[in-house]
Amino acid sequence: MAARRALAVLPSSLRGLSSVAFHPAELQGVYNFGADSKANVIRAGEIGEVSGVPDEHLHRKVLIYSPARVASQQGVGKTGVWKISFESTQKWENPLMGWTSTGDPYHAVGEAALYFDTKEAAMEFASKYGWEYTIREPKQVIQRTKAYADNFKWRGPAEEEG
Amino acid sequence: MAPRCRRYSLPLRRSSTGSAPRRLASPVVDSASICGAGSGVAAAEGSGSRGLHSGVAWYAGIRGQLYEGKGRGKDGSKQVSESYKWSSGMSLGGVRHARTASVAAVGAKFTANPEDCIEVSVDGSNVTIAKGMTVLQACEVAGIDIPRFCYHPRLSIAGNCRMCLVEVEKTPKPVASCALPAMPGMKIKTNTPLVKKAREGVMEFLLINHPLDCPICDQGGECDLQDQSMVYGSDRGRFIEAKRGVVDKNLGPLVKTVMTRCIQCTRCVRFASEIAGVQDLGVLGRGGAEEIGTYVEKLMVSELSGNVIDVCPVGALTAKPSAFTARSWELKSTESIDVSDAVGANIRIDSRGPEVMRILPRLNEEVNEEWISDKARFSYDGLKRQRLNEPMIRNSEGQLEPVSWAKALKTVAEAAHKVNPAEMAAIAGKLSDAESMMALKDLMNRLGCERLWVEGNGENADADLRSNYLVNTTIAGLEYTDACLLVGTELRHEAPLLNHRLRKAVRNSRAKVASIGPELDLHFKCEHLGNSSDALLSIAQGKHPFAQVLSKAKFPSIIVGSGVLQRSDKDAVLAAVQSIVQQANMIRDDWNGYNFLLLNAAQAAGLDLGFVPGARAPVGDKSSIKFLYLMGADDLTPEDIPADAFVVYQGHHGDRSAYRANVILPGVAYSEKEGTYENTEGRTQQTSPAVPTVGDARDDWKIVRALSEFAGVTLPYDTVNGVRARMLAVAPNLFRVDELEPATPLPKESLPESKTKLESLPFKKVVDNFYMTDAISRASKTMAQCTAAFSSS
Amino acid sequence: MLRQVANRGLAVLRGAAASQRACATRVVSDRPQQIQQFGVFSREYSTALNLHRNTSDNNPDVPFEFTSANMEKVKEILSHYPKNYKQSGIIPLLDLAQQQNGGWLSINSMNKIAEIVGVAPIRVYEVATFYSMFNRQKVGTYHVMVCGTTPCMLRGSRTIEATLLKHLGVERNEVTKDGKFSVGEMECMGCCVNAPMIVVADYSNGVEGYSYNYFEDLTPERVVEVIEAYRKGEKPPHGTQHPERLNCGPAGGLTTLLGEPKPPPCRDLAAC
Repeated sequence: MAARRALAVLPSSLRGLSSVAFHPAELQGVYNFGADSKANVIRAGEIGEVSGVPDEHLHRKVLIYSPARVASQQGVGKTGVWKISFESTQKWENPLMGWTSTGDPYHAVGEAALYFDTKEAAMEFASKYGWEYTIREPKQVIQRTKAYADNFKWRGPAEEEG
Repeated sequence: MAPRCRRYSLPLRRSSTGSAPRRLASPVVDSASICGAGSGVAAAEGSGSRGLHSGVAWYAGIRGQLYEGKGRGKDGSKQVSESYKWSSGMSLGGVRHARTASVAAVGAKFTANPEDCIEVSVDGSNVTIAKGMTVLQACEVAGIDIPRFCYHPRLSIAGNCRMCLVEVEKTPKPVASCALPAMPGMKIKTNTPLVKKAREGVMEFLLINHPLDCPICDQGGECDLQDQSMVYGSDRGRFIEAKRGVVDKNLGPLVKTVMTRCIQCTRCVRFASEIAGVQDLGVLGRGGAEEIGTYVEKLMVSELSGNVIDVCPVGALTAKPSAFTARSWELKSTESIDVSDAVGANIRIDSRGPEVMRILPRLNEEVNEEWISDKARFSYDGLKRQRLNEPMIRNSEGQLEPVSWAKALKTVAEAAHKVNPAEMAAIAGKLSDAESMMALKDLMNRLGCERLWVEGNGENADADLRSNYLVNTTIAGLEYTDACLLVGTELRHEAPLLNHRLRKAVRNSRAKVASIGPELDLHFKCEHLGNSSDALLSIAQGKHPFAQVLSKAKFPSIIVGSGVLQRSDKDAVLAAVQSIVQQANMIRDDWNGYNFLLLNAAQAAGLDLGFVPGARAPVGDKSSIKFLYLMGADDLTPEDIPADAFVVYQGHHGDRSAYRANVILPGVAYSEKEGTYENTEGRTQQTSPAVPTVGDARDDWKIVRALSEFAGVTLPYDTVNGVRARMLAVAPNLFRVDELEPATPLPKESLPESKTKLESLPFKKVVDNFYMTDAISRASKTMAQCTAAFSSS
Repeated sequence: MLRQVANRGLAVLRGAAASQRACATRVVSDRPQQIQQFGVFSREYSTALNLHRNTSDNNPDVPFEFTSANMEKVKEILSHYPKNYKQSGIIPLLDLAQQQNGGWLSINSMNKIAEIVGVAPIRVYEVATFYSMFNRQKVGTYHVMVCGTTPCMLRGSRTIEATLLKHLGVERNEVTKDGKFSVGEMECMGCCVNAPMIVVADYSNGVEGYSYNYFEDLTPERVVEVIEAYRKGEKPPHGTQHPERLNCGPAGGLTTLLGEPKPPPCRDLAAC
């Protein structure tokens, strides 16, 4: 499991603490690195601030949504995940080769990655980076009862003329 | 079969607790009326694999792992905690939505009374489903994806592809799950070796005559046959005969056919006859020679014909305009809203780089189900033509020359200050979003001008009672009507998706429909009562037989077309309509059958925002206008605009009115902006920017805001949220995105007094050509081809 | 057409990919040529192409109306079904139209039936293309159909067909120059015991004199005699053509069941 592998790169002292320090109450909005939780609480947007990201990208507008099933296919394999997508339109066709150029380092980020299993995980991730997010709830299919026998159902007597 | 990761199709390690099959939604059933919708929270295997693929560094991986440990209860379900809310860094929308529970798009919802539910077992776990559902639907509720080709949730069941075979305990053979009703206590197995072998057999037969041209097929990458053959297909075939070839059919300029790829699922045949209502496609021949076709050369004349492309599970029917232009995996999808009509269909804009490559429908059961009209789907190539990309001013020689934004705005501001406010007017175009209309209204009002209207609403629009200009049955609710009167509307051309809903009512519950207005085949049985207001009057007086039909009906409804607004005796027509509404008792606590069908995407929001002429505004005579602000409005002919008027055209296309403009301010199209739109039933929805703006164009509300500064009446908002806050004050419903704000039905006493007398005039057509109604579709080559091909019908 | 069949047989025998490809190419390249050269749309299946192409004798301008006598029959047929299920009568109506129209269904005859039963024309085309008994291109006054299913084939139906085609000088599904004969193929018509067999559909006397007769136990010589009899306007005796056979009994009289059948062996209850 990759996550476990990632955990392994943490200092061993933290690993030892994991069962103690990472208890649910503190995990919901904050991330606790040590015993002194008050000092090490991560504020909203703090990750973004300390990561050296240019200021103009700190308060990006993002959309958190769960992509709908593509209408041309029936499988639901790609649905059910939550995505963060950046409102990024700084793109243009490069006159040299006709390729797409962009002025936005995040323009493709939301395409390839930033998938989450839950909306809450996506919200928390966006908050950590200080992104201003809007949430769009997915639409659901409504199952209606139907039967093969309906094809051969008696449609009733003929309607009276007039 | 090893359980597979849903997203990446990688075989996953079995969990230590056993080899439970992978589930997309938990089978937990709500004891109340709505069952089946799981929380959609992925189980442990999914999160484990996520770390492998996500590009958000180790941090997210750890967090994901920790969530699992923390949140999973004893039953494997997860609780959503309230404390995920953050106090800062959130938009207002985010705060509001944070309180709602998380429901992912997988799984399926159904409504049924608990006593009408039965329990079946799917792969060892029990699910509760509604009585009468099929085995396949039971599996869907359980979150198990059954492969299928012929079964489509919105079409009748054909049961001919046999791909959905499952094993049911105590049956001797595998059964086609799509056609078998689920019985209480049935034990369904979907992952046994028998099932796999049976489906492999079916797949081998399907592939016998299917060509191996996936590399050059437009469906490649999003093909059900391709995907399912990855699981059930063999890497070699036993068929050594020659594959058959089938003659391609000509279905018009939208649908490309490669009939050799067809697997005879008959979805397109069922779509054509059940949804589109055109009985042109059929299954011809038999056995190995069976094929889908029209037998005689015939185009498929339907406003919904593009949907057969989506319905087709293979590459037999693909989009002609986007043939060979893009592969599905290169495209970036943006979920947005269609603005080509007032229905506001949910769409997905697929773009590559700065270009829109195609438009697909997106699920919304309440609006468009999963269909869109051909105009919505194919007019996107108009977004690349005739675009205005820099501000321009008409110079002394009468030529438009490019200038800077500052100069253009300064010119407009100066021109606006030169004229008397009573001689100014502003028209918002068909495609205007609520934000820009709000800004324009504020600007014009501050300049003293009250003469504003939205194209289609006209200058006589009455915005007082919201229920008077909305589809009050709601779009989905129209399905329940059992008698409907159409007044002055060509429903099929004005709102194809609403026409489809009414067609459903006729098909499913034999609703009786009659029409007064221009005669048009609506693709269902509709009695035409002539095109004159006499018929309307005789129904209003209760003399006409259809008056009895309406008053006997349980859910009577009426649809008034917006063409009525253009009539000189508008009040009299609406008064007659209101008396029909009263006689048939259409407005009750549980049902409001009065529908006013708007034509354009901007109309409803314009009326909600009060983008109508003020009390002091002169109405009618356009010759007094000295300063005309057109925000994408193209319906005025050059003769309507006085020769000495100063015309500002703010828009995205060099359409009709741009030629008359003194100043051109380039705006953005709906695919490039985040704009709020309200559809004809009063549902607020938002577009999302999919592609960059063209050249030096700017968001429309920003242009108006900048202009206000030049004009010395600076508007008090700088951000889009600022505009929305202002909208919240004027029309709060426009702030609640994705929500339907029903109108309060008008009290019976307040019937409008008719000032005019009903004249015996015919109702005019409001849509001359369905394929070309706005600046985008007029610039579209595909729509021009459609006009040429389908103009005879 | 025979060449194609032969090719396919060859391919199966060899089972080699190379010959397969060669065969496939030939089959594919043959087809458009046929369409262009003869204007006859046929393929290796017995059914014609599932497409309508306008020809001089079959296009939407060639009118079709039921005769008044047949219109009575139409009414009689429709009276069997509920008023809102008139489409149940499509098959008998197609049969009637085919008999009236000299053995085949023009595009307008199908359109007419669609109009009568109140469905879209495509629903009638679907039925007409499904059943090989409905001919959608011109056939001879005497339409001869050779059974091509296994028992008949083993008993020499290929030779019967080849003899017929050679004798009449036509290809399969082609009409002789005088318009009298055409040869088609049918699948099993249930006469396997008297294989090989043909059917002659006789359209020479319209709906009233229509007959559809089996000729069984054929030899290449006998089939030519049958055809020649028809050509002379005679009605050759139908059924088995074997001189010594009665219906489907054994040739030359019974060979079995000659005496009183033995009773089943029963337990002698009295002895118990």
